[in-house]
Amino acid sequence: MLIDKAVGFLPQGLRQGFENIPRDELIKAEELRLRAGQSASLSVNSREIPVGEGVVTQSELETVLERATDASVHTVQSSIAQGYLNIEGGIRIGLCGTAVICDNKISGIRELSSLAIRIPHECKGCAENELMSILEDGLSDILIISPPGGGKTTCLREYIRVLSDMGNRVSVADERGELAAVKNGVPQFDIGRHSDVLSGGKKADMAMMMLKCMSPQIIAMDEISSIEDMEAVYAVSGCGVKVLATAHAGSIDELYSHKAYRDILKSSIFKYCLVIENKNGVRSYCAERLA
Amino acid sequence: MKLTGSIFVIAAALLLGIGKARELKLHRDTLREMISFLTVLNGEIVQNLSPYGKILDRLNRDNYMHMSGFIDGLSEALRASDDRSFSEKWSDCVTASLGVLAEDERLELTELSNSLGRFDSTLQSKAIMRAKAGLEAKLVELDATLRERQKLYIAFSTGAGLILTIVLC
Repeated sequence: MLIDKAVGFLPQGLRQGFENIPRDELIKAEELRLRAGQSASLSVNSREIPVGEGVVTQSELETVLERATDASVHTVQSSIAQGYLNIEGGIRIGLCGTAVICDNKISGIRELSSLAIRIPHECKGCAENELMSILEDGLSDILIISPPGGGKTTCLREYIRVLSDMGNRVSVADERGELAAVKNGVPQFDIGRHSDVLSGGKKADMAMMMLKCMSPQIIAMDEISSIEDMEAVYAVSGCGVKVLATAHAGSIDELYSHKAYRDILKSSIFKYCLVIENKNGVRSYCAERLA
Repeated sequence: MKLTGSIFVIAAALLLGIGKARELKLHRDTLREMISFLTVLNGEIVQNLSPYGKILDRLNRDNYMHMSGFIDGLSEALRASDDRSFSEKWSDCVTASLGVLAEDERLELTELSNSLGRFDSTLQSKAIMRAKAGLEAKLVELDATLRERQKLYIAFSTGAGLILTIVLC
């Protein structure tokens, strides 16, 4: 299981604490949190539970990074410069430390201070009723929103699977490798029989490439946030392709308070918005038709 | 009988000298291969951003005569899922497979290991180039005196054999 893989990256001292946690609790983990000078913790249902007695050292954080990259941290330095790295199976490690600046850009992170090891989960059937009610109007452009850690990516992956298995050609622009976690060309997650995945590049570039090369009916993108992402959404939506995307926001009102999202909402590209709420670990889904 | 004995003693001493001279050559050749290994390692890390597993596979195919034990050992250690860091694995392989190198040369390589595996390509490259420069200086020194030292070993051991023969006779 992915949680075992994630715990396997930890040095012996830290691993012990996680191995002592009951199995049924451990498999629910959304994240392992390691902060230098603090005890390690396990994030379950968006709440952090302290693990073990000792404190995490900076050297232990470096060991985790070394293990996660097979002692080849240099191979992922461009990803580290963006604050994260992806591991086999869709596990993502977020990093904090001291940013290294080169030519006014962050070129790396040294002196690590914290790591967030995120464990992806498949949730077949989640928000299925909402999707079915949206599909009553035909295939639509859908924006899935929630605050960070709310389950957007899991929900998007499920929608990709369902729509793909219905016979729609879905092109997935998987920038961080979290949606499909492709290994040796094969997605590690079930994303449906008619899905094509392009990973590793910028979402906007990949969406345009797939639009030209894969004749998709739906293009899926996780976490649209930059101006380039928005431009890609404008570009593909005007070409007869439906867009399935996620964005960080707690509500539709919050979306309107963000200039880039406000513009895209006003352009009426997205017909539906699926709002995910997470209260004490219980997720609720609400599909709203956008004006 | 005495003549046969004398010949045996002198031959044994000569062989001892030749063995020592060969050891010196082996030391020089291993050092030379290590420098070449570090050059390739640096290139793969800086230009191709290759992972260590792939770099070692490539180096394994390059037919290093004297470094093969080190490369094999490190490849195997990298594949093993134990709690040792890459630095520890590298140091263990230096100790186990590069005994022919001098103590200070092994120390140079062990110190290099502290910078490998967990840093970006710039930092690793700097450390590799520093270690390489140190080993190149040793190689120049070794090359300059190799012939003389080889001759000295052979002459000294043959002389010692002769003296022993005279004493015994």
